[in-house]
Amino acid sequence: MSQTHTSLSRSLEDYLEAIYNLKVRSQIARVKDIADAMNVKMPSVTEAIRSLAAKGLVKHAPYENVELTDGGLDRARGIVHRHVAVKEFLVNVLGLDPERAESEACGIEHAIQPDTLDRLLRFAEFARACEDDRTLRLEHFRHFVKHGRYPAECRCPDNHGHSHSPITTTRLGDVLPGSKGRIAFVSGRGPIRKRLMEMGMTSDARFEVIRVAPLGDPIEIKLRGYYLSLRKSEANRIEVEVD
Amino acid sequence: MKTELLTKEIVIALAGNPNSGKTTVFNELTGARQHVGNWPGVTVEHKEGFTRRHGRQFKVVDLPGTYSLSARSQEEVVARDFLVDNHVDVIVNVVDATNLERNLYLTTQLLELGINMVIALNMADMAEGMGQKINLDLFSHFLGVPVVPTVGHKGEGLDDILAKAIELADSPTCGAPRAPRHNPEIEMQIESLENRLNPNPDCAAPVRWMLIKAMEGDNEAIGRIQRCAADPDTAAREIAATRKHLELHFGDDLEAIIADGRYGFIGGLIREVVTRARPAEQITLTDRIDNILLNRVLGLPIFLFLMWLTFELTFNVGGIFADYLRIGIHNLGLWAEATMPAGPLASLISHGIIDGVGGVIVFLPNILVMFAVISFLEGSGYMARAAFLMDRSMHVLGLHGKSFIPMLMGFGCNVPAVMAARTLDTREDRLLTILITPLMSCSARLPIYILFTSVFFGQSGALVIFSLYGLGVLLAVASGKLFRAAFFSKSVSPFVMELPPYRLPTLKGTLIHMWERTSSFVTKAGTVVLAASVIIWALGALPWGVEFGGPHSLIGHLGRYADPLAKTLGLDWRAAVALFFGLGAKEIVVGTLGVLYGFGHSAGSAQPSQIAAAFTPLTGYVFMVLSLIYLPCIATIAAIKRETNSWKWTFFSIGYSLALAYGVAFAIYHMGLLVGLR
Repeated sequence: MSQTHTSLSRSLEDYLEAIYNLKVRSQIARVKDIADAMNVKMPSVTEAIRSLAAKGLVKHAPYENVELTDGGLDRARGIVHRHVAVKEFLVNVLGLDPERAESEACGIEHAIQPDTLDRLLRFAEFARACEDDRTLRLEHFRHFVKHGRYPAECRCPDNHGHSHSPITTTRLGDVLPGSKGRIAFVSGRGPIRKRLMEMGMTSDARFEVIRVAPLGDPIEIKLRGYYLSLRKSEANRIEVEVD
Repeated sequence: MKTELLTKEIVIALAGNPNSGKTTVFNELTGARQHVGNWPGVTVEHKEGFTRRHGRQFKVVDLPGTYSLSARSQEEVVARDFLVDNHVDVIVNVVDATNLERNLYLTTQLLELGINMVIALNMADMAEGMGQKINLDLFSHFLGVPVVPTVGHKGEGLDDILAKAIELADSPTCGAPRAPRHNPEIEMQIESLENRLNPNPDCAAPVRWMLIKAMEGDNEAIGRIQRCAADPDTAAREIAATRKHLELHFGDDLEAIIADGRYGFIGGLIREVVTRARPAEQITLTDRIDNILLNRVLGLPIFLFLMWLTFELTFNVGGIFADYLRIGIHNLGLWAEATMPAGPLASLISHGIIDGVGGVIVFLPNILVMFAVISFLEGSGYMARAAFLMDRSMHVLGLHGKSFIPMLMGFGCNVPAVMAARTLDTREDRLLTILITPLMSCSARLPIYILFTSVFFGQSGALVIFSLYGLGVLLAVASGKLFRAAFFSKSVSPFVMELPPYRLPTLKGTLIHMWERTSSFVTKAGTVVLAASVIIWALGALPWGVEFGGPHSLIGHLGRYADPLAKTLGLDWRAAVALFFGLGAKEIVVGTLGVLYGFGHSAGSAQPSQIAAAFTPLTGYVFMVLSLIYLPCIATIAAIKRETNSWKWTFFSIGYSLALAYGVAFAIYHMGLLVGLR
């Protein structure tokens, strides 16, 4: 989240998010699907796609489905990540009912700054840990905010407040050994994508990352009951959901 | 009719994934000369064998192992062209029962061909051991083809396979395989296309199969349809329009939709027919072995040790036998010369033919040992791991992880090194590796380096020799990058490689593999080497009566034409002639120098003092650089021809190495002069 982005309007962020969600759920994002999902008219979608394409976030030719570029994918992932994190906070910490949290998150996600979000996430995690461990106190969290780490005496959730959201995807090449998950989709077009799919990397296939080669590339994964090695450059075409 | 049926030979095609045990089944069926391996895509040519069982004659064709029937790799093209264009009575689809899901992907495509088929559910014993139970009747019901459990290396179930094959071959109408239906929209469009295009019924290829492939964007299949269609242009247009329509409908590449659908069908099939006695999630032997062999810390040291061992076995253990052979052949030549009346014939036989044949035979121990080791590495499954470990560093050089072994072998001898390139999967990677391997400085070039460095460089000799090896590797890397950019830029070969389970290779498979490679070298490369040896002999020995290879021989005269060229490198025609004889074998270069500088030691090596008189340190180094880069020996050239199966690439390799040698030597010589060396 450290990279600087050209700013996107709230509505364009919504479009990007919708395209991404469609892509994850059904592999494809057609203008009509996007219009349905966002409850707008098709010309509005076309207009928004054009602006997104001008910013290099999507690729779209008339009468074809909308493709996210690598940059667009990163960006969309960030937006969805924020959305899910905010929603979790509203539900788990503030106790809002999920439906209301969903609609409120839609508004908050656009306004919130990355560092605030990060703190929100950590607090959500901290609050969850508090439920199990009665010795945790709010001052521990304040200590964390001030010093960037929790005081030594407390068994607090350390460093990264990973909260794996159910619908954010990551690149297979970034998944750590030992992690399992399912394949969301293989991006791009052409022979390499086909080859990957023929080897069994179709959506919803379960996988486990076994290891990274000693020199850092390629990686080995287990898939459909067999072991497969592939370079990170190919693995990064594969969007996955980690359990 | 009855008797005609009984005498009809039944043609069986074996198809299956790499590592499915297909080759083992083939060996057990026919006992033929075939290789058993665990290395993806090891069978490049399809091989056939014959067998007689149940009173019938069978011809069995072993197709290359493939994961699919798209026309992407050479292997896939070979396999599908054979199935489509030749008369095949029965396909025997060898399926690894321990890895059903991915193996059945090919099966779904084979079913579309509409050819009679039997599924050999191979490694059935291992699948059962893993707690997997397969309902064979249901399986066979869903696919519409007989399913027979087999255990390849024990030959179990193969009789049943052949019995089923006879049934199917004798009654061609007894029930066509039931190919899985695709998405209804796709099926509808295919049907409508079939009606509109109305391809010629005489067309050899099954129409439905061609249309499905065409929908997958397979240009070769589209070409086939055009050839069959009444109007090729309309056919192409209609296909493109249908593809466009379907892609719009699904909003995704059609190939992705079809692949997805195939795996969907397989998933459903497996849910129905496979039951697990216990959960499969357990740590297998392969997992345990890989935890050590692919370990972050231990993986590379173990790999390097195994490579060192391979090299040692091939060149030092194999080399012992090679030395005996060399001495034996030399003595045979002397004996022949002594027993026959002196004259051109005796000289031809002893120096031309016996030396030529000997030049082939001396490689045999190395080749036999190397292929024994490689066969073990492949058959056990380690070769794929070696590629996994090395890919990162080889990829930087524009090569595949599997190129490491041929290049390493090159330091011993280029002949087996070039042959080892066949372990690579794609034609591009194989070619590239073959083209750069001769730049690895083989051990036969070492005597030249030793002679010159001992004369000119004394204490720093080792460093100078090391610089030559380094130069070779550097040029190989640079050439590799150049070739990749110049010839293969369009074909990206993704590194998507199966790591097969570890298996103990069978002795039978290893022996067959060794025999096959060695005999192919002797018969194919041998003739080229022999012919070249006789020509070299003639150039050196004629006109009859001159000193062999001396100034008055044919080559001595011809060599003078090379004098102006040699002068640009600070050398003279005698160095050029010595290098020419190096073609036969690099070892000869040193001996020839002795003859040409005419100090009377015709049989022995050149004396250091002669070298010191004829060369300067700079021209000595230039001569060594030339020896390193210029043509590999005849045996290597023959191996290149044999492995590339193309004179074009062979001549390219020759031309390139000559030009490179001259260019590099020229640059070194003139830069040396510039900085005041001599």
